[in-house]
Amino acid sequence: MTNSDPHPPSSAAPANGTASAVSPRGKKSDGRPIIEFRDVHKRFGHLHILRGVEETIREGEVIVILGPSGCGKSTMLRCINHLEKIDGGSLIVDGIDLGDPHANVDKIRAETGMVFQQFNLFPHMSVLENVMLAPMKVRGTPKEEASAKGMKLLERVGIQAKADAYPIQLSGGQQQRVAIARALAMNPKIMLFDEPTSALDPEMIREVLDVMRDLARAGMTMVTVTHEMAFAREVADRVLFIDAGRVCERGTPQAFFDNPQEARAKDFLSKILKH
Amino acid sequence: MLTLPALANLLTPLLAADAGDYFGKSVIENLPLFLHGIGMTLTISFWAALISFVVGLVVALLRVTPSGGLKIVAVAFTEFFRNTPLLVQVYAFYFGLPKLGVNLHLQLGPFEVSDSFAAGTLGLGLYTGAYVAEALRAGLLAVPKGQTEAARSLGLSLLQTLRLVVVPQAVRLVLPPLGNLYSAMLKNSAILSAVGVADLMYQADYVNNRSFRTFEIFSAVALFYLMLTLPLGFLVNWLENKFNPLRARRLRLRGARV
Ligand SMILES: Nc1ncnc2c1ncn2[C@@H]1O[C@H](COP(=O)(O)OP(=O)(O)OP(=O)(O)O)[C@@H](O)[C@H]1O
Ligand SMILES: [Mg+2]
Repeated sequence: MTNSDPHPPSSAAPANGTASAVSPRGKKSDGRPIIEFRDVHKRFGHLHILRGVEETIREGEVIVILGPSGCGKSTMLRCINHLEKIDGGSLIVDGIDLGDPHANVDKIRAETGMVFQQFNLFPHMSVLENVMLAPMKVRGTPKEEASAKGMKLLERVGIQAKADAYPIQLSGGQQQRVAIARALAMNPKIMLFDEPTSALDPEMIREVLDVMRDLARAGMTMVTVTHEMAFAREVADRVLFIDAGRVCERGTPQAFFDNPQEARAKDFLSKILKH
Repeated sequence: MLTLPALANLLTPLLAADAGDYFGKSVIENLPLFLHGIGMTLTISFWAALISFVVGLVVALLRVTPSGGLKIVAVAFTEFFRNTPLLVQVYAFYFGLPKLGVNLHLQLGPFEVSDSFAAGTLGLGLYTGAYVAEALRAGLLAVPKGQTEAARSLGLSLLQTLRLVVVPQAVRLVLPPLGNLYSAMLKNSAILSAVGVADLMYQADYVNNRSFRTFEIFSAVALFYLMLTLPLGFLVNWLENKFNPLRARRLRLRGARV
């Protein structure tokens, strides 16, 4: 597969004339590019995982990444906030090229919130302390201010009553909501979610997706890896289907789910929609 | 063979209180010497513990952070000091360093440090430090990688991540092995008497050489060492509770209700 035009002018544009291609929050296809993958490669030893990823994500877009297990979805997310270093090409996040060895990586990380499958809350700190830590230590926010803002964020994810609890006293869904609040405390421009609901019991998935949906409605730029197809269909502006280390198909959820073009995408969908 | 008459002989001094002689007489009469010895044992242990902790922490950090050359130095240090006898190390410092032109007899302000004290404390500190490094490294590695990733993705620097996220969690894991190490170190400090540090063991030898009441002297010495090491165990338990936020909180709450 060669990419003569890796960046279709606007996948959100109503190519087939359906109104569904325009998100209810207005068109995002003319937003400022905030994440740009240019021929990005990533290897783990002899494993060549990302093999020339090309993609432009614009400010305010809600992206859902799909693809078979092991295809590099997590790796792609982790490259965006430099938890993994790219081996080739360039990856520009909010104007900073992560391929540049002198790039200010801490700055990118501070502006990019990440939510993990395993929550990764700090177990030795209370819920509120988890949320206050980064603003105080990275941005130098005074304690009172960080605490007030932390409480506001906990309220936003519906968990202010547990501010003084410790993470192990919370359910998985509550922990994940705290993790989202913790990431939001840095006022990130981009939020990355790596299978945020995969470690949750079914009855807790919803409360986390609700928080994410609110975030999307508020205009946050979001890149999410998830197996929640209903969420992808409802909330995503665009779906990226990854296979063999590249973006194999991209499009609106409607176009992707109802009328996939690539054989591998069809195959993938037939497998996941069966159960 | 412990025959009955022999046992009786052994116990006679215990029972013969009226004879002006009793079990433990040599210890009671030389109590000031023993107390001096205990003081010295504590002093050595304090400084050696300090040295070993600082050295152990540095070596452990060098081994977990990604920097090739320093890592080799750290590994070499650990393997050398763990795999040679403490007595040999103390001898090497005591007899060897002066030959290399290092003056061990120090005058630090008003404090005079004897060469045997300096060599002994350094030896004990480095030897213990190698074990401390291993214990700390194991503790640091036992903190899940996701913790570091979460901290880094929030924008915390590597040092902040270690200081605020990894170390506080490692501390709790590391306390029990550190407790064992420091109680071993306190007992190992007896070896320093071999180069003439006037610690508890040294005083015991001294009294023994004059009175030959070996059994009672070393029974007492064993008791003294126990009295030094047992509180260490309690201290570790207490610290463990203190560094467990949940348990500490529950204790606080319970205390508040009473
Ligand atoms: N640090 C690493 N060292 C070696 N191999 C790795 C590392 N991280 C990921 N990999 C490998 O890279 C491949 C892609 O991993 P990645 O986690 O990005 O996949 P994924 O698409 O997120 O899969 P999943 O759906 O299972 O989460 C996998 O084969 C994985 O084993
Ligand atoms: Mg993954």
